[in-house]
Amino acid sequence: MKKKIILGLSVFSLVFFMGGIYIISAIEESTAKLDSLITLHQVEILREHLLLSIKRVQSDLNLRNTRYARSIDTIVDDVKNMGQAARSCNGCHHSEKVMEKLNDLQASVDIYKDSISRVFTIRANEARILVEEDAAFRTGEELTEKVKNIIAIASSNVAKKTRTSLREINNTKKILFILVGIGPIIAIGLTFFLIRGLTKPVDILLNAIRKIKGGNLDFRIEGLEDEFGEVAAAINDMSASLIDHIGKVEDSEKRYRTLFESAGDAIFILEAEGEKPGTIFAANKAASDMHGYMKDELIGMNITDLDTLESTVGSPEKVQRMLKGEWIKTEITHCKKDGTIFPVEVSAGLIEIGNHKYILTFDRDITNRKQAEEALQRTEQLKMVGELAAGLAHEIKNPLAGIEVSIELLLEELPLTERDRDVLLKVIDEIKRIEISIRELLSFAKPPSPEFHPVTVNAVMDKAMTFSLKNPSFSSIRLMKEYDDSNPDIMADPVQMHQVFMNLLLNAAEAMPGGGTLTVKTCVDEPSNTLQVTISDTGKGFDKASREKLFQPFFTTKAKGTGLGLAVTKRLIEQNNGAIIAENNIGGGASFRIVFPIGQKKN
Amino acid sequence: MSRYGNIVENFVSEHLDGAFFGSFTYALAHSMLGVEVLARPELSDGTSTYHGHIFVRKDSGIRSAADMKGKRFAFVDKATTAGYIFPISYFRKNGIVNYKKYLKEAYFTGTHEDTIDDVLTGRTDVGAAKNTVYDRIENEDKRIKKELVIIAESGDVPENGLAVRKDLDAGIRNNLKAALLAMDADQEGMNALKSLGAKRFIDTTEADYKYVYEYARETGIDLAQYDYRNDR
Repeated sequence: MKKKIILGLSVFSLVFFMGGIYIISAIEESTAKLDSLITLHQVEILREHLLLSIKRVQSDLNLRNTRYARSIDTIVDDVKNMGQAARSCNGCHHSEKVMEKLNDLQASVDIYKDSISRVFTIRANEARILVEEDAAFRTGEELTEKVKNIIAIASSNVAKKTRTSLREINNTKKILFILVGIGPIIAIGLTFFLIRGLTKPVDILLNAIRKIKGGNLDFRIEGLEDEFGEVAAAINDMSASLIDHIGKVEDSEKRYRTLFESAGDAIFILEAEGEKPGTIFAANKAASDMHGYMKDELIGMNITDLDTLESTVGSPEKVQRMLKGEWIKTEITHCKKDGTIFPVEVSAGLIEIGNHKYILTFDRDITNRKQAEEALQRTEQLKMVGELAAGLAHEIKNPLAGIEVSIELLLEELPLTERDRDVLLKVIDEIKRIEISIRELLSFAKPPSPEFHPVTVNAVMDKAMTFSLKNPSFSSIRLMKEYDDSNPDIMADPVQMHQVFMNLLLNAAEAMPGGGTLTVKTCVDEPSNTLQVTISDTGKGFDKASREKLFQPFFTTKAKGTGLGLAVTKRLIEQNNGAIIAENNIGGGASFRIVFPIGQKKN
Repeated sequence: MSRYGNIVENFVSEHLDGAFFGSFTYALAHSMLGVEVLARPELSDGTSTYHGHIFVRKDSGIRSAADMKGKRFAFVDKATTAGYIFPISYFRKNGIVNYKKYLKEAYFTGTHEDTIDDVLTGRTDVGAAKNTVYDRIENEDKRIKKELVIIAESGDVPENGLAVRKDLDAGIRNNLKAALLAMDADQEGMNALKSLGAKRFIDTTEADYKYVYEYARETGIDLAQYDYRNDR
């Protein structure tokens, strides 16, 4: 561009210099032409003067010897004038042809002068004088003619030259007018061209920078040269490098967003500055899933909006601690959009992003953990209660046996009325019931350790069925067997298995007091590699409340039940590495499914 | 009219103290006014005198005064030695007293140059003029030497003598003469001489005009009473 500017200014100067030179030379030339015209006209006057002076001498000659004759001095002056007029013609011409003519004219003038001189100096007879006078007169006339000729030719030349000169001057004038007119236009044009050469690239650069600022990083500047080209290349490089950099930032952002979004814990970023600290600035998917809000709903809410009333109480104090830089860990309760309250473990602290303070919180839903903890706690309690009860039962068992034996003795030895006998028999019955309860309580609280042997489940089940059928509960029950004969043996205690099956068969029969179908099914579940035994009835099934408490001790729906049967069953199955699941059948009734692992070794 | 004789009239009318005179005009002025010659310039070619020529065209056959009978004669001026006094004396010496009758035509051209030209162009048969002009024209025009022939020559007479008025103080006259003669002795004088075309001034006396007086006497001219105007 610098080169262009220098070149432009040089062209400028050169054009003005040339224009100036042309104008000066044109004026010089015109002046010279006018000078030469003036000279030519002066020469014309000189010729006219010569002609007049010749004519005057001629008249001197003609008037000689008349009354009007001029004095000899006047005549001498006239001749001298004529001579001078003729000589003055030689003053300015240089062309050879003209010089020749002028020399000829000068010679003629000299001859004429001689002739005149002769006429005026000669003293002779009239005839000779007449001859001389005639000769002089003729010479004069010839000279006059010559001068007239020269004047005519020269006049026409002068006229021609005048016309040519005036035309040329006129042309020069026109060119000068055009130059003076066009000069500024060219100057303006050149200036415009130069300025445009500067502003156009600047416009292009500005436009490009605006586009890049607007986010169009793929935009590339083209067609610029010189220093502007270098600037354009730098901007293009900058765009490319920005794209590269942004790509890296985007990749990184994507990685962190994935991490953020796929985290199992709810993550919140909260405003820590301004009027409303705690305003949710960002939240991940787990946060929205956990609280039942759409993500957009969460943004802008305050984190305390999720707290339960009880949790809200302590939150300002916690926020203050965090703002002081403390990383806090606490357990509070949150409220879902639908009002469900659940416990969360909060881990939160202050972070700073780009000079702005935020609170980062990780909230973990600990409902399951809490439930597990509660269940464990209850089991422990039960165990303790069971052991307490077993101890007590053990202490009761012997005196109770003594009471029973003593009453039987009294029955045999004392003469009793029928009515008294019935009372005592009833006492013995009640004592036996206490004994059963104590035995069951003992087997629940302190079950005997299983002795593991290979057990053929189908065979044990058949034996348990045979025993069960003796019970009056089975009177109106139809038994159905769906055995898989290829069942492998499992490792378990056969006696405890027998008790488990007996309990469940009786339980099913009792669930169908008006009669029904009892179905026993055994099969191998390949995917889980387990042996499954299902005992189904066609009774009423469970309601929701009773299903949850089914296996809890002392829970019973039966009038004479101890509430320990299913609890003991479950305990025995678990001791033999199995599991039991109670479920309602689709077509009505309930099922107990027992699952044993196959290939179980002795524990 | 005459240019030659007018000097005498002008000398008086203009109350001049001195002037350069031609040979015959000096003789006239001396005789009429008593002017005295002091010196005359010697030209750069060493000449200080001249003489008259009588000449004809070679093809005219004229070689003597006898041949001139009935011919045309061109004089210069009545107040010139070479152009009038000498040829008249020439006629007298050759026994011709009345030349006007002897010649067919006699006239005055007014200038030496015209006389020479008239002879050359045949407008006259015989002409008389001074040798200095003749020699000059002879140098300029080759026809002179080829076509003209000189048949008589006069004796030498001084050219352009400086003469002063008769009653000028003798002391001044002597000082002037001494100064003129010594002009070539210093640079200033040399420069002045050069502008006159002269080498120096040489002493000039009445004796130098011997031939003028002789020719005048021979032709019977009374210089004191001479009418120098040309007649026809």
